[in-house]
Amino acid sequence: MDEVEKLRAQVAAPEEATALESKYGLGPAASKIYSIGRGVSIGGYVEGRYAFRDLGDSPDDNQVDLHREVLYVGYKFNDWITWNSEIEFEHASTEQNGSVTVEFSALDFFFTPAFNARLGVLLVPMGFTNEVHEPPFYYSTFRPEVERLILPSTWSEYGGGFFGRIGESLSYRVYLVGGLNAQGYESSGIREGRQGASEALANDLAVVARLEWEPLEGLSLGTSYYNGGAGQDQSLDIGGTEFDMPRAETTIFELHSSYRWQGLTARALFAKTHIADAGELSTLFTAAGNEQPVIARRQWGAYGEIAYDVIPLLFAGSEMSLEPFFRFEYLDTQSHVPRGFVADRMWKQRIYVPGIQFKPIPNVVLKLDYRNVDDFAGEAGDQIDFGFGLVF
Amino acid sequence: MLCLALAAGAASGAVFRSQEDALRDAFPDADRIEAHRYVLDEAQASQLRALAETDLDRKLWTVHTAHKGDELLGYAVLDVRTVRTFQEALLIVLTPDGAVRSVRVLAFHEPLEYQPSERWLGLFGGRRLGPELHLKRDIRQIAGATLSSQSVTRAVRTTLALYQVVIRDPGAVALD
Repeated sequence: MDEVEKLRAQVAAPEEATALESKYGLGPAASKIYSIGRGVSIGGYVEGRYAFRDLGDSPDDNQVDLHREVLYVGYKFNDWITWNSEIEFEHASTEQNGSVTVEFSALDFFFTPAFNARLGVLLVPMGFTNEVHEPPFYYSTFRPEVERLILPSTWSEYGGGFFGRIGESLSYRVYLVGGLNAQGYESSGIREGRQGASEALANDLAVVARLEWEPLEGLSLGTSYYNGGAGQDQSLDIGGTEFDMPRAETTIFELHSSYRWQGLTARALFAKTHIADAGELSTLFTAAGNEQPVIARRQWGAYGEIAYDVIPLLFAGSEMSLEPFFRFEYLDTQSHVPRGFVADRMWKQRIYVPGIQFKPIPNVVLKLDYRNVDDFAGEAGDQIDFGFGLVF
Repeated sequence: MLCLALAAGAASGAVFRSQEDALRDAFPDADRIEAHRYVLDEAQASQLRALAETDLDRKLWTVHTAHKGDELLGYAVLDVRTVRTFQEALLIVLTPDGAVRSVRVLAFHEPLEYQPSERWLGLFGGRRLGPELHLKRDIRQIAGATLSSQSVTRAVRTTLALYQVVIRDPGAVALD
């Protein structure tokens, strides 16, 4: 039995120092890490929901959807080269309305904690949700709209760059990635301009950088910045004539903060997009007969969210959590439309989301929320969502 | 996030310190560090569970005691537990009177994004077993790393409970 105890400890941390050597700064990372014998790792997450929309002034069809079923596969070649990937099945079936997407597929090279490199299909490091989008880790059945329409999560592009942590409280990421494709821009925002590394046009590239600072335990402040062309040297066929797309330089600036104290979690995010050549794009898209042709020069959105876990008040030490939450969002993807165009007020929205989420264990979540969308055109309906999610 | 940012991802964890080195760091003045192994009986196990307010997955525990001459410098317990999919190894050091002196991560086999920082581990310094020593009470949850913060909190509570059940109990008999 004594040996069992020794073995148990030995598996996780070697008993003696002799086998340890410092490599590439990962602490004295030991060659004994190989003894854990895990080259391949598998994880994943699932989220499904029931959306009840037959209510309010604008009733719509109710819907059930296995929104995402995702597998993470990784392979650790050695203690400084690893590969990580996320393969996502959306909406259950490609024969129906679904799709299969490689959300990320990144080869990581670990040099020192402060300086590491990454190459492949990368999650664009903006906001809260794009990189951390597993269902137990954000509130409400649907992701925040600001992180769907202003920051178009899930947003991944092919690219490479550097990342690391400086000291205990500062972390950064800087990537060069394939640019957006402005041909997909709509009145609702840049979401359809994502290329996702699928034979993506790379005539215009973009730089994206993120800085995260934790001045105090529990408080995090972060910002990110994206800049790049989106014209991709393309032309648009309008009535048999080819028109060159402008460069449509797109800049996104984002600020976010989160705070935790006892059962309280609060987050806030602000994001603003600027699109150059918006007038030219709107003129071309209107002539081409696009459904949503008015591209705003400026688009922005913000949200604030607060949740409180009441379980620690009732049963200390329980791994369950029960969190009532409330989120308020404001977004306007038609904030500043080019001269001569009329803003589509449907894309100026206030969204109120009260709800509750229950986690019987940290990896499993049940969510119930009410989403009140107040758009300035008066077209959007409200809905009640009941969702489940898991991660392993 | 882990909670979990890149989720399981590749097992990009690392071993930072051997047990031997960590014990030496914890007690630099010690002239001898002894390992005592205890097998909990049913009564002790259920008492430990009740005090720690967490599950117990083993009954065999090793407590290291550090001495300088006749002076007792403190205790250290190596706690190995699963965070999400993979394990972490923590060295939890107690003062002679049973308060937490330090918590150190010796190995962390989950992706390193989810590893608790030194600053967060410092929250446990001076703590004793009590109703406030829980996540979301006196211990803040690490943003994006619920499971990491939960597992460390449980490990510390378990060690503090071990102090009460066996270390402090003159009737408890070690295997060696």
